Amino acid sequence: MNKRKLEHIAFINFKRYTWSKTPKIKIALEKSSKFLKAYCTPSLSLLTIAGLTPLDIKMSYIDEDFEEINYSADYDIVALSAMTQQVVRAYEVAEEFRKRGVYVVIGGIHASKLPNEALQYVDTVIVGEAENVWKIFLNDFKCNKPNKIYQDNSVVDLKKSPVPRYDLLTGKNYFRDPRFYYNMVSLQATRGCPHDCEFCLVSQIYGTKIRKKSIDQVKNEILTIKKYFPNKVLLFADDNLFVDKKYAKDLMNVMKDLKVRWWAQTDISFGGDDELLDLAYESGCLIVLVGFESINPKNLEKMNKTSWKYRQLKNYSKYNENIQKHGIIVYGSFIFGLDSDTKDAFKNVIDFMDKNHITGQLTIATPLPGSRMEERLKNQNRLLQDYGEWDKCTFFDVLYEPQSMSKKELEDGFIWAYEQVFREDSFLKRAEYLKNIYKDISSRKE
Amino acid sequence: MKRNKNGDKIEKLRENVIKTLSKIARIDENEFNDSTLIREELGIDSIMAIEILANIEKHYDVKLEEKKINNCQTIGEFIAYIQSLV
Repeated sequence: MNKRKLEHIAFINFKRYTWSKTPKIKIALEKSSKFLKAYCTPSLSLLTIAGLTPLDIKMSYIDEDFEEINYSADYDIVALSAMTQQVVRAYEVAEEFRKRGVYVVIGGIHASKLPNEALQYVDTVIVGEAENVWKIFLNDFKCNKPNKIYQDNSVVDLKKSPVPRYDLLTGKNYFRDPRFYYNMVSLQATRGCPHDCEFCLVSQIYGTKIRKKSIDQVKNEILTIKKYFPNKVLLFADDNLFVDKKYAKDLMNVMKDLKVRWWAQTDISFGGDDELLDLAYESGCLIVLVGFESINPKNLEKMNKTSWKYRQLKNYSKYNENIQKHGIIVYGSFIFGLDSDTKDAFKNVIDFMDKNHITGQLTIATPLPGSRMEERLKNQNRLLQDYGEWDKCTFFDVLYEPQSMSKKELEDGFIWAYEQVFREDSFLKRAEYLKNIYKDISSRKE
Repeated sequence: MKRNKNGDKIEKLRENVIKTLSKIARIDENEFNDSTLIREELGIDSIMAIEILANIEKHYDVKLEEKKINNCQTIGEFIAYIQSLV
């Protein structure tokens, strides 16, 4: 069998619909943009795959948010990764390349859950994590016998995961106007989340057991990022960084000397460990995105099999306050439209945020394909979108018939809640509260 | 003589402000000069700014205005604003 040329791979990240597709929600969110910033981070998964690629192959990183795709470039393989809301665009791009005879491979959670759908548009799908199969795919491609699907059911050992190719980002400016975006460079220390919430795919794809890179690996990744982007804030892309608290403490102890500022995502248990909080602050933790999800016990009780978040509800305010007292800002994540949410949910959450001095990320419950939530709503005949309208999965659109209010009530209540959180006076009040905490910390250190 | 004292006071303020920024942003002091862009070059964003402003307000017993801070693009402009309040 003839060998195929493999000299150049393009890794393409797609445009994101930062806000809603529903006009009235989109307008309302854009109005709040002064105090509502979005993240801007490069695609860590594509940079990781690039890190697995032999160095004799030329690699180009393309981010559609910053540059046009050149369909005439001499790529031998185009590698795509797309979240559900990006996948419609990913399929369009895939078809354009395939018309020109370029081989297209896709990975990511959406394609992993719906590989047969993806195969209508691409040549190969990498299902699940790519670390164990990417080189096999490249060899098969060179031998002109690539498979349609690559799936490795063994668990990827993160200690063998490469340093992502951050150097591929240095040719262009992949960051946005800092007045409207949090520009960060992402890295990952762990994968997995024990909670397995109904709406989320992380535990399904990465497992409920936490896997970890070695501390030296993470240190090396941080030093690599600092080499190329010395003053950028880091974002730990881990879905729940502090699950293994001993590991997290070991990591923070090393990070204390690395002179970085960083964000992470966590559950509320982070707030119950003073030693960890001290270390997190000392090592540069600026802010944590905490998955509160809801303050309605009925919602939390049904969220996962162990009702873990329901059992933590009593700690929400106490732990939140403790995190803030340690000089770390809390960015709360709340989901509206869960089945026990009535029209009161909006005011209840806003009151909670106000009382606890937190800003946050408000989203609408979204039945991602392959999630237990999607399956349940489908069985209940409550899904509103047609199959394939994945670009509507923005987390700011109502895609199903809510149980305890109407679709319009959910949309209008959501808009109202956003307007309350991202008002100038709310922002200034929260900032004042946090400033007083930092003043106390400063006094204690004098 | 008076002029020199004033010059010393300004220099001290500059040193203090840069020391605070350096400590909170975890960036070496030698990377700061008057024309350094606060957001683009130092990566200081509105989240980090809260801690910086708290430290400066406490140190100089002043109240910084959000709108005026937002108008500061460079370290020089930021220092000049604080100087105008002290």
